[in-house]
Formats: sequence, structure tokens, C-alpha cells
Amino acid sequence: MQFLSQEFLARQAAKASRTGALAAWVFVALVVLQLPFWFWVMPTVKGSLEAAQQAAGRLDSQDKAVDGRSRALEDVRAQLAEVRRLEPVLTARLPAAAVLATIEKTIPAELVCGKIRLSADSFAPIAGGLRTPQTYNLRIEGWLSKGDRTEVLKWANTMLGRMPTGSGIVTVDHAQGAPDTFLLVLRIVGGDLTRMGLSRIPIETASAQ
Amino acid sequence: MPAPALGFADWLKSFRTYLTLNAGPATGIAAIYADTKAAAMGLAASESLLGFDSTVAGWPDPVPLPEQAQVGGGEKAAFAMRLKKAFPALGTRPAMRIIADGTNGAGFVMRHYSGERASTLRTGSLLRDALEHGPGEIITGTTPGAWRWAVLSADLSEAPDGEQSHFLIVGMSEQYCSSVEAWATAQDLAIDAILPAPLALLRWARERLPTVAMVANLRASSFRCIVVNGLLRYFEVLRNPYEGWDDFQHAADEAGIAGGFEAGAVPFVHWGGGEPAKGNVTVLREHALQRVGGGALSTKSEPGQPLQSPPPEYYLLAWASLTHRIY
Repeated sequence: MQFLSQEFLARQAAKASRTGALAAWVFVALVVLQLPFWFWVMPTVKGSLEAAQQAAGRLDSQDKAVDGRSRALEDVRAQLAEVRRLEPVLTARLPAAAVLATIEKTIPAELVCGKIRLSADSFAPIAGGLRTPQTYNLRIEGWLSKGDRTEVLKWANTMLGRMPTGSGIVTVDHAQGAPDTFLLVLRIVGGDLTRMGLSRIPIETASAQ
Repeated sequence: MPAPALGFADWLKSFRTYLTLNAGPATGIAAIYADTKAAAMGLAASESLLGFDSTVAGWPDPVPLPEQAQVGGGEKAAFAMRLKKAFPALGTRPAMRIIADGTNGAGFVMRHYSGERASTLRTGSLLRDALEHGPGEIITGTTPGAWRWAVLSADLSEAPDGEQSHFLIVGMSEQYCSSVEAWATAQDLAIDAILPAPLALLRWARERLPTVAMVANLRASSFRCIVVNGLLRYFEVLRNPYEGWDDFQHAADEAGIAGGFEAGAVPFVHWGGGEPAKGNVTVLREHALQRVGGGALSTKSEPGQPLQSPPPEYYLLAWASLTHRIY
């Protein structure tokens, strides 16, 4: 019935309230107690923060530079990825030059090579929809200048001693029925080429380096 | 209505005020009688009058006057500063009591309401609800939100929640009350109450003259009432102030009949002076007011020297500033 709004009366009561005044002084005391923090601790923290921000800025710029260089190497990465994809094919290959070198080094003087044919025989599927040959056929036709089939058999065994383990003789015969000709067919197993004097290049290690 | 929660910003503002004014409990009371053109102020502290000032409307950042275009509350609290400088005995945080004398229907609304004749609105709470939501159905021309309402019972206290035979409906202009609150907030002054002048005079009359039939001419409003044994029997705001003795006699006779008395049988008092006493009419002029009010008005600044020919509202201001509770 004072014709004053509840809000106005509440504000007025808060002004005259001793509790409110006490709270006000407590508030001031708390603010004063914070002064050392704001004037001594905060500047130190602020300095550390700025140094950290500068370091972060430097790292950021370095990161951007590395990113730029990394983008330049995108083509190389793609090529490497292709090499990795083809790695099983490369590791399973049988170098024809090594086979020819073995023939050249081991062929006796009594034998003359007329025709050499190297062909893949059986294949095994690998990842990526590719297939690699597992065995090869080495077919050699030639002439005997002297001696007989025994010379051919010796030569075949000498070559097998330099071929991957598991390789064997398929056929030793006269070619076209003539006694001074020979036909030698070897089955060569792909895989370990160390007996042929070759060592595999470790591709993963080379790419990592 | 529950008190609204104060936010942190409000609390900080209160805190600022506390630090600025070192606010403590109210020590003095300043009562201001404001009509539509002028204002007078009476001040008291420690149960004694400090003084009166009839030029208060001319002070810087003065109190808003009823029905006037309101100006800003004053950012520099010039009014409060001058008040504390002129009357330091008021203390740091005096309580202000505003007695607003305006036109019935513009500055305030007052109406006697008979609970006996009412069909449904017979309790104070029902009447209050009806006034808040649809005052136009009870008092023609009023709209929701434009008034702050109070429903009083016959003893002029807040009507309890029960059926009553007599109610006094009092409304104060929302716009005026808001402007006084804004002014007090800007001045960092406490407001104890805003009362319409007829209600303040009714309370004064009920306290000084427990049984009285009165026709009153205030500065801006006029009313007639009958109080019997401290209970309001009849009240009516006059549309126009009476002019001349015949007019007064007619107003008094009408009030007597409406209050349940025979014409001419009730001795009336006449607040406002200006007319000589006649018949069964007592004019509340200076000597009569002194008798009723307990003596001549004298202030602490000049003890023992009564004021010379104080206007009638000074007696009302003395009562308003010395009474513990006027609302």
C-alpha cells in the first residue's frame, strides 16, 4: 500500500541492508587480495605466454615450409606406391640375363647352342589382381660337335647346380631325331637366386632410406 | 507478488551507493506535499520537527509533480545534496514520503465501495484481482496497467481476505509512481511511501478526530467523508471544489445523508480554511488545527517560536514526518 513497486522496494532494501554492506566489503577485500596476483604474477605469466606464442609461431611457419616441401614430393610418393604395388612381381622375377650367363659360363666346348627359349610356366595370384610366374621352362636346342648325350646330361646338372633349389631336368634328348643334335628342357623354380650369383635388393629398406 | 530477484549489476549499484553515501538506517523523514503546480516539504528527525520549506519545487532536480510532464531524475543528485546540506540533522539517508495531490482520475483514483451492495466482489482479494485485470468494470475510465491499486477496509488498513461492508479503493498513477521511483533512484534517496493527498488527510483525520464528518478542500482535490469511531462510513471525491458557504453546506448535507444521518444533524469540520464558522461547522483553521494537532507548529531551528500563520498542509506535513507509519 506504499504504491511502490516490488522491484524498487527490493533495491531499496538491498541498499540499506547491513548484510549487503558486509558482502560489499568482503568483495572489496577479495579484490584487494587479488592485486598482487594481477600486478606481479600475471606479468610473469604474460611474458611466458608471449614467449610460448612466439615459439608456436615459429613452429607454425616451419610446419608450413615442411608442408610445402612435402607437397613437392607427391609425385615421388605416387611412384613409390606403384613400386610397392609391383614389389611382389619384382621379387619373383627370374632375370633372363642371369640364365644366359649361367648357360654361357657352364656350356662345355663339345656343345653348340642353336636355340634358347625361356618361358613362364605356371602363375600364382598375388595382391592387387596381379600374377607372378612360379616356374619357368628353359628349352635349349643345339648340336654335339663330339661326344654324346652324357655330355648334355653333365652340362644340365652343372647348370642345375647354379639354378634355384627345386629346379630340375624335364627332358634330355636328340632334337629332331638327329644323333648330333640335342634338346634340353629344364624346369626352373623362381625364388631364391643366390645360387645364380644374384642377391635381391631389399626394396622396403631402400625406400625407407 | 514475490520480490524480484536482484541481479549482480543491481547489487553493484547498491554497493556504489553504499560507498558513496555510507548508507545506514534512515535517520530522518522528509515529507513532501506535491500538487500539480508546487510542493512543500516538512522535515523531522528524532521525533522533532526540523523545519518546513515551501520552495522545494524550485530546487534543482525537484521531486516530480503529479500530472506534469516528468523531467529526468538528475544525474548529479543535486536535490539530495542540497537537502543534506540544508538539513544535516536528517542524517545520511532520510526517508522520503510523497503526498501527491492531483486530480481525481488523473493523478489518483479514490472511491468508496460498498461490499454489501456488491453481487460478487465482496472480499478484498477478489476486488484486488478485479482491479488488476479489469479495473474499468469497477471504476469507469480506468485501464489495466495504468494504476497501482490498493484496497482498504473501513479502518484504512489493507483489506484482509474476507467479506467487508465498506472498502476504499485507492489507485495511484503508474506513470507518476514510476517517475518518483526513477527520481529517488537518481538522487539516491529512500522512498517510504507515495500517498494520494486525500488518503493522507483521511489518515490524519482518523488519528486526530476518531469521529469526524469532514469536507476538505485540498490544493488540487476535494473530498467529503464521515468517520465514526475510527471507521470510514462514507467517502466521496468531489468533482469540483465547493465554492461559497451554500455549496459547502450542500456538500455536507449530502454527505450526512449518504452516511446515514439526517440533514443538519452531523457536526462537520471544514479543512482548508477560507470560510468563517457557521452553525454546526468547525473550520479547521490555525487555532483549531493547533488544538487538534497538539499545539502550534515550531521547529528545532527556532524552538519555542511557533510558525506564523502556517498553511493547513504544514499540519499534514508535520503529521506525515513525525508519524512512525503513514501507510
